[in-house]
Amino acid sequence: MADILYEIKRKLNRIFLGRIVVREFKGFHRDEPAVISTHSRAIEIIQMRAEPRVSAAMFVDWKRTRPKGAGSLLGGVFINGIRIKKIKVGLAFRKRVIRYKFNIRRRAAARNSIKRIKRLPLVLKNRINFLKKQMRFEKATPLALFYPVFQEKVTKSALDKGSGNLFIWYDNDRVKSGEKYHLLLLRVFGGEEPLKWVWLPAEKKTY
Amino acid sequence: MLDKGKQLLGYLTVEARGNYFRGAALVTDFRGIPTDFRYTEPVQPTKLERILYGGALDVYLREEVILDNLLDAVETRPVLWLVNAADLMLPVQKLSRLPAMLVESSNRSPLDASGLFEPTTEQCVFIFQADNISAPLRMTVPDDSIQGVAQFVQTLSSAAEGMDLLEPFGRIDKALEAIGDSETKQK
Repeated sequence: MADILYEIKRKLNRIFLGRIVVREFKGFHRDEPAVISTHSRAIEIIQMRAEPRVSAAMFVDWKRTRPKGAGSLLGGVFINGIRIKKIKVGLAFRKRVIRYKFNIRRRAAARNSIKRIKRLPLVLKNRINFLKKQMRFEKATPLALFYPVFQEKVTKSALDKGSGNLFIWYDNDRVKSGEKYHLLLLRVFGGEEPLKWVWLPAEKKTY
Repeated sequence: MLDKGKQLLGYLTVEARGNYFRGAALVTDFRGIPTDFRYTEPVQPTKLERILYGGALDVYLREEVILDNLLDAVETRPVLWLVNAADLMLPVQKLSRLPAMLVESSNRSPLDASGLFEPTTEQCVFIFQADNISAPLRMTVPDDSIQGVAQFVQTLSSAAEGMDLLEPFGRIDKALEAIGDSETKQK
């Protein structure tokens, strides 16, 4: 009640008499601790540059070591002109020697493939051009002459009409040796078969 | 100089296709029947090897790598080696300690009889008649082998009675093609 009367008196004095109340500031009580509030701030580091693409070089390495030959790139951390932390940064060259082993010789190792080449035919060229003048046949014309051919060893043969070469497969194991022959291809006039193969012993000099 | 007891001829080729080097050695009897065949995998030098060896890479690969490997691997000993390039003669002769020569076809008219030979205007190059029904062949020998030419011609003429002297080179090419095809299919 007293407070209410006091407030009414103060407001009437303020309105009609122009008086204001002046009060004394007694300060903080010593027993109460001062409360200082600060804004909490956190350091946020945002990396503005792109991620480094080179992770490491093989022969040189960034290392925290005493700068010598390469020199210091950063002498420390300065705040307001005062160095607060000394950082040793430099280029340290490692003695890293990469040994390259030359293995060309090993890559060119020889392999055996005698079975494969034994399956390939021998290719005999047509030699008729070198013998045609010496040949005389009645009612026939020589078309091709192949030499030398081991008749007993032949298991298969094929004439390449395009090149005129004769492909011959020998049975190398069945017959160890044999006589050489000329194999002659004749065009026969008036016969039942227009082409005829003729074996001629190689030792025979006349035809 | 020639071993007459063994009637075998050796054929050696080294080819370079693009970046690849490959070699093959074929030994046949005097009828052309193969008795030994060795080949190397295609060797492709790396970029580093090309830089380090420089101009010597080609010689190194041909002579010290491919030829040496092939001649080491061949188990039968021919009386002589026929090669497909003149620059192979000396290294083959040195490594194998056997005569080596380059024999090629020619378009010259035949000589009078087999076994005959005559020099040409080129040094160390001869023309010889291997058999009676073919064109003469052209033979190139190393400088230090000129004195043995008569013996070489005699041996080659003897072989030519039972075979076409140059035919095995074609068979080597076909064998390498077949091997390359099969390796490609396996991959």
